[in-house]
Amino acid sequence: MGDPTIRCTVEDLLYRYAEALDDGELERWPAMFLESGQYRLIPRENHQRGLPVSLILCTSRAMMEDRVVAIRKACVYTPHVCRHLHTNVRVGEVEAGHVETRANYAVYRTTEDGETVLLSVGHVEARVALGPEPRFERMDVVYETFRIPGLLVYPI
Amino acid sequence: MPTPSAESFWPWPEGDTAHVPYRVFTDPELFQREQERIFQGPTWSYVGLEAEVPEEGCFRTTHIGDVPVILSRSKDGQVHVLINRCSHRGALVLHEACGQHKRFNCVYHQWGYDPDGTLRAVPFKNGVEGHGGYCGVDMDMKALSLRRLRVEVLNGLVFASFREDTPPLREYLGGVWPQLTRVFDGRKLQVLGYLRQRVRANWKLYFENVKDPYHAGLLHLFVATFGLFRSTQRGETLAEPSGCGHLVSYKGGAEEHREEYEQQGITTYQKGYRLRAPELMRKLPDFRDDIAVSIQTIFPSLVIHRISNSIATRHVLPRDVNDFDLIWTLLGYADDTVELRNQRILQANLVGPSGYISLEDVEALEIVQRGIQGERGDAAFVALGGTQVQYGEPERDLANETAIRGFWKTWRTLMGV
Ligand code: FES
Ligand SMILES: [Fe+2]
Repeated sequence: MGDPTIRCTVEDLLYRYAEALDDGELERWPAMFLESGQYRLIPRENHQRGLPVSLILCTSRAMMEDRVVAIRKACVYTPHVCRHLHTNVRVGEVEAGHVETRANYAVYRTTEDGETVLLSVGHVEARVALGPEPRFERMDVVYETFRIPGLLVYPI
Repeated sequence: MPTPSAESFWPWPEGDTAHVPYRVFTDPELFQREQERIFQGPTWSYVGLEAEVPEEGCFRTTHIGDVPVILSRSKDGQVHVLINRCSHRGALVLHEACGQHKRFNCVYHQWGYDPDGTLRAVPFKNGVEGHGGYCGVDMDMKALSLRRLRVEVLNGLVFASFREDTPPLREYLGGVWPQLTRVFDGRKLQVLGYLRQRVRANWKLYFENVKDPYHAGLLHLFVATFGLFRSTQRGETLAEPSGCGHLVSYKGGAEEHREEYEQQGITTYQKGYRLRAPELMRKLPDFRDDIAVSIQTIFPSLVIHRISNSIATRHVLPRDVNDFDLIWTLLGYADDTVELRNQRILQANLVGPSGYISLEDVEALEIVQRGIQGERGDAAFVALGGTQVQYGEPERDLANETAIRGFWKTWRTLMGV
């Protein structure tokens, strides 16, 4: 069982993360990772079988920043917003200022005509660097809605 | 007063190659007809990779058109494509996505089949204590085997056909063969992962899209600005009478300027924007040629791409007239260096449902499907570069719709429309 204060810290980070994406403030997304942070959005079927391909793979914060600029400037898609719901947040033991965490998530997508669909459901496995400003060192988002309805533009 | 209706292109005027009536994308009856005339017609459908069924009893389930099929490997090492429909009363014999069983047992009444489709076991065949069973019934076990389709394997790619009169695969591929066998050259393949999406558009829009060099430099801002593909680039499209084809673009400039060219491509992708992590676009030595992007289409179910170091099959699976599934199988070779393998994995960012250069295609298809609702005989205009249809001879510029016209002529012939 993880320390409740640590869990609070991690929950807060996760909720702020969701808020940035839900508010369409993508530019805030990379800043929640360490400079050398890694982000992977992995279909559950690949994860289960040990296949290495991710839907989105960023091996550094710079790569996340590129993704944001590309989404803003070079990608064409129907405007929509996303809504993240995180639950079942758990944390492990703190080791050298880092903690492993796991949470479930669901993301809904709403288009301009007001239609909402379930875009993705799955879980997050992350390693958080604690400190005055906690950040993600690594985040693996494993999605089981692996037949994506249409496109997936924004990170989860 | 009603507004005068536009000229109707449905029924499709004989010999009109400049128009494609939208009806072909929206009519459920045509979709039914496609099942019989195309998917179960004289065509080769992609089913999967040999590498996906490496050992005896390995299988994967998929579809050819609306028909459920099994890709399997039998004891003698042969791969088979079987209709996944129990000979007893029609249940799916295998309902898992993939796996490995020595015997394929139908769960309903436990009829058991060998991985090559041969019926081996029928419970209570001789009844119970002399009653019931199939005693006295003329039961031909052989005739009750699973239906086995005609199969051809091309360097790891498995194709199947319902018909005996489909031309041999090599002939069917025609001029697509040389490019295809550059990637599928017999080296052992390694599956790096799968990406899947459900597209709300008619499946043929996808085949048009991959035969359309016109959109490539205009819709895909990311590639255009990186120099992976520019409309002014050297390239070619090819259409074959079977519906197969390719689209190839070459790197600009001579070989010795290539690196310089790539460097420039890396620095900016829109004026004023620099890629902060240029390693994404780094292309490691892979094939010894000058090709930037190479896309092969094998009608009616497969697209293959080579984009920088990314290699994949894209399996097109129609679900109904308005929907299809697109399954991306990302590949490498078993003998790739770790570095090259990692670059292929990293460049999965370019393709698939979130790919920098492929997400727009699905967007474009979906907005076409939405745009053509309510059509009353209206048609698409596909006269870029003329109205000619040209088979077997490449079109050597990238501002034409010649391959699209070729594709539709093939479709009309098969469909009798
Ligand atoms: S339906 Fe398969 S055994 Fe009866
Ligand atoms: Fe495209």
